[in-house]
Amino acid sequence: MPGRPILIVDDDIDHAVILRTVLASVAPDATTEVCTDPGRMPDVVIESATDALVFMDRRLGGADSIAYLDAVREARPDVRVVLLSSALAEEDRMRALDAGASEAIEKPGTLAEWRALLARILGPDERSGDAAIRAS
Amino acid sequence: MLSIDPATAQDEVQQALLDSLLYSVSHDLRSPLLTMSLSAELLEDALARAGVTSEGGTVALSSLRQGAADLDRMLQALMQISRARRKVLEPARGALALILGGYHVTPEDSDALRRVVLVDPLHVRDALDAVAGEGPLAVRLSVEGVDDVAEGGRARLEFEAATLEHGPTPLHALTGSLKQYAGTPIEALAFAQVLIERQGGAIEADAPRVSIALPLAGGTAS
Repeated sequence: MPGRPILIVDDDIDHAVILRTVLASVAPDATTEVCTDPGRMPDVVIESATDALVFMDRRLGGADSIAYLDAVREARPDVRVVLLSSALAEEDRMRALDAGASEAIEKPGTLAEWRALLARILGPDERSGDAAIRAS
Repeated sequence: MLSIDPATAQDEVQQALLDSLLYSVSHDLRSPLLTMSLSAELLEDALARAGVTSEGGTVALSSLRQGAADLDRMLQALMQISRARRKVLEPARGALALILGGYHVTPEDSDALRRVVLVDPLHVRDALDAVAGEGPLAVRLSVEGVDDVAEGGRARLEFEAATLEHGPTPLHALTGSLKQYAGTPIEALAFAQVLIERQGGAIEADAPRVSIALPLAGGTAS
């Protein structure tokens, strides 16, 4: 059974590439798309594949991406958004969850922590899928 | 007509600028730090998979990882202080007996532990727990003033923080040497200092002695 399609939204290209690389090691068969253009928010999420799993950076182009979550939740209740941030205060984490994020997490500092985090989020059933990994 | 003291207004502007700078330094710098440390790990993985061994490369990657870890430790300390300054605080109170439960307390008088202070008990407790670690902590408790904070009433907790070498407060020590104090109990004390001062208390240090003054509510706990 194919896993959820994955979308990475992060305007820091390095972080997006690192996340995609670690995802490829945890879920080598997953279909992963990357968006690094904050100007495409929130449309890129609203137009994502059915049941997509979205890893979205907290700050996109200087804007607080929590503000996009309401629109995403209303338009695409099937999409699961995991908010990632280099630094996340508890108040902001709660605000993101209230706005519809399924999780709000501080970006881990080591590859081992990244792999453990992604394995937990993807779960055993979602670590497979389409073989293609493509960037847009 | 409402008048605003220019000195007060200027101080508020400076505090807002300081908060903004602290937030930017602590949060924005962690992003490139993550890039560097994770990239170093990915490079190490790639070299290992390719069967490349190099003593110089191993040393360089190890140094890079150690430097990144040090920088992360210091940024985390700044983030903690930034969060303490921005944290939304609700009015709170707690009995000193609750705050000091489990520690070896020497009260100035028998009623002191029944007094109630106007701060979030967890803020004090977390600081004491950090200093105590897994060991015992001796706390001297005294009460100043006869009634509540409006009458000058304060509870004073005094104890030793063995790793503290600077003053006049834990926050001064931390900001004076992130390298020495980030990630240590002194960071927890500095974090508590910001929160406690925002609630009308104070923390001072005459290294290694630490003194926490907490505003008293009137009366005693039942």
